[in-house]
Amino acid sequence: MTGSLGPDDVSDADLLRAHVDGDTDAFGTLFARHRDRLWAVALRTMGNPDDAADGLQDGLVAAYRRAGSFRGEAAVTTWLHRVVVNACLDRIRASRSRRAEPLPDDLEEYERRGSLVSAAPVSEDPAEVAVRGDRRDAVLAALATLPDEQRAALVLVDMEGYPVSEVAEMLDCAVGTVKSRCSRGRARLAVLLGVPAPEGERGHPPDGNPDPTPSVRSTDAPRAPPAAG
Amino acid sequence: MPDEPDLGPEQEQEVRRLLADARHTEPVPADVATRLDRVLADLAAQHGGSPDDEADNVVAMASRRRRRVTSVLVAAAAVVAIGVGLDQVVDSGGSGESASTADRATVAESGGAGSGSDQGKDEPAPGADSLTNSGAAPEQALTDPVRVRPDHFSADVARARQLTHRSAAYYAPDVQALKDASGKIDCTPGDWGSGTFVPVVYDGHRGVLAFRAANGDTQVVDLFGCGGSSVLRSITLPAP
Repeated sequence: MTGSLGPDDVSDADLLRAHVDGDTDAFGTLFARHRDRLWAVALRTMGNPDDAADGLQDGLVAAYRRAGSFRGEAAVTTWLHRVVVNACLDRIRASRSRRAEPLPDDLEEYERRGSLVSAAPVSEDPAEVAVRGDRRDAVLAALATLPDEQRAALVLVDMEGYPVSEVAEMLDCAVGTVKSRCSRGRARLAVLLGVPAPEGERGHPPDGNPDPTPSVRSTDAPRAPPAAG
Repeated sequence: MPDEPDLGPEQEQEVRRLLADARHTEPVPADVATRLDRVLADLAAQHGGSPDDEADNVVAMASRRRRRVTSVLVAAAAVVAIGVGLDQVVDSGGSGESASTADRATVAESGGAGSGSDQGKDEPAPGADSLTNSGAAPEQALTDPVRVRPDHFSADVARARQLTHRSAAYYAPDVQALKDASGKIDCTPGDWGSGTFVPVVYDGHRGVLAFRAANGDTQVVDLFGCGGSSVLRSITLPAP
């Protein structure tokens, strides 16, 4: 696989190629490089560790099998994410097709705690640790109520920090679709988490930075079009 | 989903911050890592790192599934008509998965009596009281694949193990017995190693659960697709 190079010196693409060529260690090395981040994505997409483990395993087997179909048009890590996210979404869809998912019982409670959720940290008080945990739980509970595609987009863009263009490749959709899913998902989360609109945004024009306008009216005479002739 | 409000920049930034704070930063848990490593090892060992072979198996399985659509739909209708296995049909419903639905409707459930033509198979067979009783020759070997649902994998595997205590119709004590019955159960054995094998229908596909010899307090169970040799799923159960 590696010749005189160590595994860390071999690119993802070379490892995948070596796997396709029959190297029995290459895929394990490749997967190990990205395993933790793939796990994070699977966990946040699926919502619990058991299902995430199943989804990640599905993705692992699928990627192993389909390595030969990788054309190199995207980064290997993008392709791996795509396979794992699709495996997770397939698993969710299969599950949802059999039963309706009720909202978490405590969702209303989370909504009532909107001010707590959206409060900015103001101190390092020991209670902040507990507050942070509650806030995290509230976010995850609200995230779980979103449509699968919106949740996947938010996990990849806002949680994992991938560029929208790369997420579009992962989710096999247009950039605009990713933006739309993120926008709608955030708006829904804002409602569920009670993120308040600033005062100026409640029925009034935005109160952000005002458009730059001259503080003193110019005394110059208005310019007229140049006279003909 | 109700209409979502348009967010102002500050609101959107706050939601994004909350999401970023909820990012999972821990590594893969040790048990999951061990499981994934074992799956990888099995894949590598059984296929010599040749994904093309595995892909061929997948295609073969999918095409065979499609070919069976018509016949199994008829079987599913018969199941509904006689009121047996209704729960299987409803529970397996699924977004274009007609073949899967029909497949599931034709297989045995743990508490059910199977299809009308298979009445009586639930009766315990002599010598079929344990998975470890590999010397027993099942009298009604391998006529009823057990349904294993992807989203209830753990529970269904445990249930499959219980079924083997009830009837020899559900398992083969070794791979040779499985090969002998392969035509009967429409399942070509792969390189599945040693163990006790329970034919299953998993997500619409024929396959087997390989119950490995118990090791201490645990027993590993691997799922294979018929005709394939890679572990599709694996689980560790408390030893029987």
